[in-house]
Amino acid sequence: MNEPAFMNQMPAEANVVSASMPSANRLFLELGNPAGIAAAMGFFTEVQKARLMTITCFETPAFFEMLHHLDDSGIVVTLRTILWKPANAFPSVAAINPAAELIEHEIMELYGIIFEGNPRPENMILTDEWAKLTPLRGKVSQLDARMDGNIATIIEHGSTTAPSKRVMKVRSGMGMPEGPPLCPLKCPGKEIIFTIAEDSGTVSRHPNLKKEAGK
Amino acid sequence: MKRYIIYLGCMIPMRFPSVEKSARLVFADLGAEIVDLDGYTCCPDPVLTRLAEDEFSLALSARNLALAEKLDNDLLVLCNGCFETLVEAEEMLRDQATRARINAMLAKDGLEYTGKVRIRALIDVLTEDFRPGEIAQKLTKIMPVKVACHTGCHMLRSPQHPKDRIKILEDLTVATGFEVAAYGRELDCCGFPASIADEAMAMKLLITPKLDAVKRSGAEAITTGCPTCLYQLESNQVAMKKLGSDIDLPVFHILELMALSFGHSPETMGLELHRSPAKAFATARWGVSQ
Repeated sequence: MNEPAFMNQMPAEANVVSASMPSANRLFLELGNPAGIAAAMGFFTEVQKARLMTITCFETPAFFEMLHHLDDSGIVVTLRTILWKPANAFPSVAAINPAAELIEHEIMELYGIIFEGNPRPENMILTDEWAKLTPLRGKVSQLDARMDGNIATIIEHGSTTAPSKRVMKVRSGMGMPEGPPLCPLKCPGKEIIFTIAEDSGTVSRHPNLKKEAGK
Repeated sequence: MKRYIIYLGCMIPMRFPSVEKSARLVFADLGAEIVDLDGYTCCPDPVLTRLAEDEFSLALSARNLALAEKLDNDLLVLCNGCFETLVEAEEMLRDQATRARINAMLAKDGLEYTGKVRIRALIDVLTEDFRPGEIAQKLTKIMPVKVACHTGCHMLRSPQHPKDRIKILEDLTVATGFEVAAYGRELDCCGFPASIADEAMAMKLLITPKLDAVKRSGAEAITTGCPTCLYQLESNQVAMKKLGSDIDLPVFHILELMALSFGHSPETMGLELHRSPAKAFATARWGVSQ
């Protein structure tokens, strides 16, 4: 799919590192760092006259993904920016597009991320007794170790479940091979899964992975 | 002779080898050949891994599909989650730029995904490729058991209406000689994804109302086509018992019920790894001798 002509006019300060257009009315732009969001939003708001639809935040163990969704003459443009942990502040775009103010507040209060430059520091959504709880953020933190462990187990055993002696005994008792035909048991090179994890950036995002999974 | 490449996923060979054994027995009885997919990996799982690492996940899915392409038959997927993951990967890999990027990673393993493998869910294969009469012909130990069916969410994400999807498992259960117990919460999730974030919430809001409804329906057992749902329906009964629940229903994969009804002995199927009273129930109903 050809990218729209306006891509050539994007300011360099937006630091767009990749673009993909899976269909004629959908465009994803990845920004290299949070600092680029002001220039990108400025371009779409002031030059393209695009409408800010919403902002969404997605938390993973290693980072927050901030997604600014805009409607540019029928093309839904999503600006994807990664905020690496432990950083916890993201530039506000409320001064560029006032519609962002309330949406940033939702993310601020639910995830505890500070939007630097948002004009209202006080809570707008949560009641006083919830003021310091950041309810959505709390749920993901307990997944961190599990996600790292899950990926490490896949790299080591090819499976999310490590084999147990009891299961292997039952398998052989039924006349089945102790090990199922999973990689690395039936795989010429065990290291291939780790190589894929390296190539896809997974290893760099999970600092403990190398130690846990080995190579 | 029908021939399928079998995709077992992780849960089946590592936690429920009885389901793997049943699959091998049932398809052999139905006159179909099963070919192992040597060197496959986790699909990866549609909840944690895909959420955390989309590119890594897509590459592993593509690798599994590329391995299957080399064997040149339909890929028979025994697990709901694996089915959803692989079908979604297939969809994402229709984009040529994405496919080229992922194939560059697979090239180091001497593999290439071209998009020619047909991915099929177990319940679809059993109902589309085998006439009810073919299954009925193999029933040598029909037991009058009232069974509640749990299809599982990942099997519902299809162009078909969810009510039509749940009917497939129900029809298969009837074709295997059982009576289906209607309990009104057939579409409710087993709670597994929610339990990763909050076990207590998942138990309170999802699994307890579902199991209560199953019990009220008069069902004597539960069946599902998904190993993760099976795990969840069993482990939550264990947890609920500690909180005073008296629900103690055996949970079976549909392939296990088929193998039992085809006359295979519960003693040789590895049912002891279930956390529900599946083995005791099967032994009481189907007996120990073959």
